[in-house]
Amino acid sequence: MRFVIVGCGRVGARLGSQLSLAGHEVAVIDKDPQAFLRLSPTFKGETIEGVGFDREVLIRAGIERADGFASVTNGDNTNIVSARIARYVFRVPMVVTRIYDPRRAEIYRRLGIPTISPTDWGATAIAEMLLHPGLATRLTMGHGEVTLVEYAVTEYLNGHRVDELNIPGEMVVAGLVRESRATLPTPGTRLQLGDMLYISVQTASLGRLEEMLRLP
Amino acid sequence: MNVLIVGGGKTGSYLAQRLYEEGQAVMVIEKNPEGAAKLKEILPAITVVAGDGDDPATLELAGVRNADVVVATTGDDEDNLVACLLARLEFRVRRTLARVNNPKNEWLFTPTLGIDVWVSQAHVIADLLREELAGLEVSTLMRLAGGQLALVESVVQPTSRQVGRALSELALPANSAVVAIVRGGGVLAPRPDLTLQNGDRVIALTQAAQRQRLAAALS
Repeated sequence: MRFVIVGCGRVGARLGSQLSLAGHEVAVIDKDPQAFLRLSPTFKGETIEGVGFDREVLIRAGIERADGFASVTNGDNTNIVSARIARYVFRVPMVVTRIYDPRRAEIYRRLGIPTISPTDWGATAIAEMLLHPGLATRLTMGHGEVTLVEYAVTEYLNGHRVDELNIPGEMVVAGLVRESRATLPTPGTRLQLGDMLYISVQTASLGRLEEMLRLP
Repeated sequence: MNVLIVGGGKTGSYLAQRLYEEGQAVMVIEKNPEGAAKLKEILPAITVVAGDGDDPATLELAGVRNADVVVATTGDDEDNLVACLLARLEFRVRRTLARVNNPKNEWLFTPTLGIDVWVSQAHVIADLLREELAGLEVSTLMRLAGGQLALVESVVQPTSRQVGRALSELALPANSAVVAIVRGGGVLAPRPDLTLQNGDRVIALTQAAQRQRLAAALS
């Protein structure tokens, strides 16, 4: 597949390097040619010096035949302008952008561009780690209303049934990894010491889950 | 009418003053706090908000929800685009106008990004210059529909073959229309039987690419 990335900062460079390593055609755009030094030595794609909403630059990067587009510069305005252009002018099928400002991120998401807001995401994840040290947050959904946590089964839960941890509307065991194999547990599955549980939980119910797991 | 102006620099503050004098309710957002304070001093009757016009909270504070028109006049094209995008698509403002600073960015100023009308100084000057150089007798007053249409003016010269002819006899290019005739300081409706006189200023709407043919039809 072909991808165009605007912005070669830490995220852009890593994204470009990952996609290139996975065998995809990648073009990375940045106004500062020095930024391309961040790309990994294995990067085989193209680097294009220019602005992410310059028509010629985008065309040179192959946006007209791109399967995906990401704008990840450090400017929210640049990101949204180039993302909208990619989606609605060049009709790239998959467009993702990063917006630092959470309020704007929500608006742009509503306007039809999948938007990542690391500010919101990071702050929520860090707060969860500080507040609930016994549960490792793996994913937060929406604006953090639902959290997926990871929990290694201890002596205390050994032999208990999975459905003891399922509370409708509050939490559900979404996955179980036993001896390096992941499964979707049935309600009757018995937990064993060393099982890794993935529990999807309403963030507001994290305290309740901790109590159930006898965590401090 | 409620007009929200984003950018209180030279263009924005001049516009604010003009509109205020014409009796419109004007609100201005200016990024630079000193500039905002100065503007408030000069135009005490105008609502001035210090903040970023690309920030939804600032737009709301300045009254974007009550605005009939949003005009983005900052010196930064991205800021202008985003201010209009938010105004039009998020806050449902009926009409947005934006200033284009870098002519290279003109192609971005489309309804896709929430802009109804754009004005580019470089474009206006280039158009005028091109018309001067081509010896055209029409001048572009305004560009509409993303630059595809032009509102033009042409002065009927004493040597023109059209003097004494009725409007209905003009061989105008397709999709063009005479909008008004300005004669001796008054405005005349473009009735088909109106005959042209020396010195009439013909105001017409045409496709931008057809201006030369329109000029020929009036010469």
